[in-house]
Amino acid sequence: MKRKASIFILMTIMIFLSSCGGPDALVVNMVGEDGTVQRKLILTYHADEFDLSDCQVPVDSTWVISKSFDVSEEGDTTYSLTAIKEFDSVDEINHDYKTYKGTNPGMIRRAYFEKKFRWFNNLYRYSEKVSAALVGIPPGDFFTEEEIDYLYMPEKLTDALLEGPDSTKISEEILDPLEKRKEEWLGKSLLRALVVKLADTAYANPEIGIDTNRLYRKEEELTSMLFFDDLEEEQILDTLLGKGFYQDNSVLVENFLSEIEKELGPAFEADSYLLQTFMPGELIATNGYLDKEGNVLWEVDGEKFLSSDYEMWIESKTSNPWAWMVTGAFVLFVVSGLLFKAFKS
Amino acid sequence: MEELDKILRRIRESKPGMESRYELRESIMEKVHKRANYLDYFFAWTDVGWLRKSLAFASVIIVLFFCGQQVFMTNRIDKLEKRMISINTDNILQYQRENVMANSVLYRDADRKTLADSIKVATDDLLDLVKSYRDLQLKYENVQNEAKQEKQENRKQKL
Repeated sequence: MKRKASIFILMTIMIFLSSCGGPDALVVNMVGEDGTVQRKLILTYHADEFDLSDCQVPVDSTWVISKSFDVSEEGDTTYSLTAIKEFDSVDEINHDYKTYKGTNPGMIRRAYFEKKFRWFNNLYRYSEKVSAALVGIPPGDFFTEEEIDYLYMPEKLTDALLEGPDSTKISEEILDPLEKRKEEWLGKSLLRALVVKLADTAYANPEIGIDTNRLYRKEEELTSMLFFDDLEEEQILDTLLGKGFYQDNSVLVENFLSEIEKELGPAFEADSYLLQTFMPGELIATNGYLDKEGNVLWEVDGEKFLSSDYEMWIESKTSNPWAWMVTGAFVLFVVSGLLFKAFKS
Repeated sequence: MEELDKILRRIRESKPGMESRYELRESIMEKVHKRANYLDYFFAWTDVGWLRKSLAFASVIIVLFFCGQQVFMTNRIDKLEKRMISINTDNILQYQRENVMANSVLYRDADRKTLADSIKVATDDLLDLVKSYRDLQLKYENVQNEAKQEKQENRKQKL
C-alpha cells in the first residue's frame, strides 16, 4: 500500500494536535530549600468534567483536590480543578512520571534538584527534562538565538504579544517568517530521523546491503526536493537507497516506517501544558519566561522536544549570613594585625 | 555652710600629701604596659613572616572570591531582564479560560474537526473568529447598555 509522503502529513497532524480540545493544564512547582516540592495542578475546562487518569501530568486521588468555577463578563462559565501534593523529593515526582499512563504516555520526563554550597551563598537548581522523541536536527543548530526565544515561548504569551503595541512588527518580522522556518526545520528533522533509522537498520541487517554513505549524501538532495515535490514514500526511499529498493524490501520498509511512527508518537500526540516554578531565595537564571510578577513559565508541547532534549531549568540563591560574618571578622582581624604591625614598626 | 568651711579648714591644716607617688606611677605604667602586651599577644602572628603573608594572601583571595561571586550573580540576574514578558499568572489563566471557551465552540460538533482541508489554518482562523465574535458581542452589549442608560437619563431630565 502506498502512503503519501508521511512527513508532511505528520507535520500537519503535529501542528493540529498542539491545540486539542481537552482541559488546559498549568502545573505550578514550589521548590523548597531542602528539595521538597509542592506541586499544584490547575485544570481549566468549559464543563465540570475532569478525568484525572487522562491528564497531561501524573495526578491521582492522593492529591488534595478542589474545584471552582468562574463566570466571565460574557456569562460563560469555566470550571477549574486544583490539585495539590507535597513531594519530599524529586525522586517521588520521577516515580510518578515513570508509572504515568495519561494523555502523554510516551513522553519521557525527569525532574532534577541540586543544591550547592558556595560559602557566601547556597545555589539551587531545579529542572524538568523531556527526552527527545527522535534523532533530528536540534533547534540550536537550525534557528537563530532570537528565533529560539520565540520558538520556545508559550503560545499564550505569543498571543499576548500579538495584542501588544508592537504586534504588527512582531508578527511580520518574527512570527510569520518563523512559521516557515519551523516547517522547514520539521521537514529536515523528520528526514534526518528517517536517514538515521535507515542507517541503524543497515547496521543491524548487513545482508540488505544499504550504502550508508550514499544515504547521507542524498539527504541534502532530498531535503530540497521535499519542499517542491509531493513525494511518496517509495520515491523518498528509492532516492535514498537506489531505485527498486522499496519494492524489493517492502516488508522491511513497512517495519521500520512503523517504528519511526512509533518513535514520533510522543511528540505528535503530545497534549501540551504550562509549567511554572517558584524557587527558594532570589532567582538568578532560567531558560523560561518571566512574567510581570517574576514567575517563571514554560510550555511543554511536541515541537519543543521533537529533536532534542527539552530541559526547563531555573536557578536561585540564598545568602549565608553566618558566612558573611565569619569572613568579615577574619578579614578585619588580618587587616587590624597588619595595621598594628605597621604602626608598631 | 559653716560646717563645710570647718571641714575644709581642717583638711588644709592637716596638709594631705601623696606618700607613695612612685608606686602609683609604677602601677599606672604597669597597667598601660600590660594592655600593650595583650595587643602584642593578640597580634603575635604578625611577627611570623610566613604566617603574616599567608593570612594576608588568604584575605585577598577571600575578598576577590566575594567580589567575583557578586559580579557573576549580578550579571546573571541582569540577563534575566531579557526573558521578561509583560503578562502575569492571572492573565495566563484568563487566556486559558478564553481558549477553553473558544475550543468548546469549535468542538461542539465533533464532525467539524475533519471538515477543513487545511486543518491548522482552519483551526487558528476559527479560534480567531470565535474570539473576535465574542469581543464584538461584548462591545455590542456595552453599547446597548450605554444607550439604555442615556435614554433613562434623558427621561429623568425631561421629567
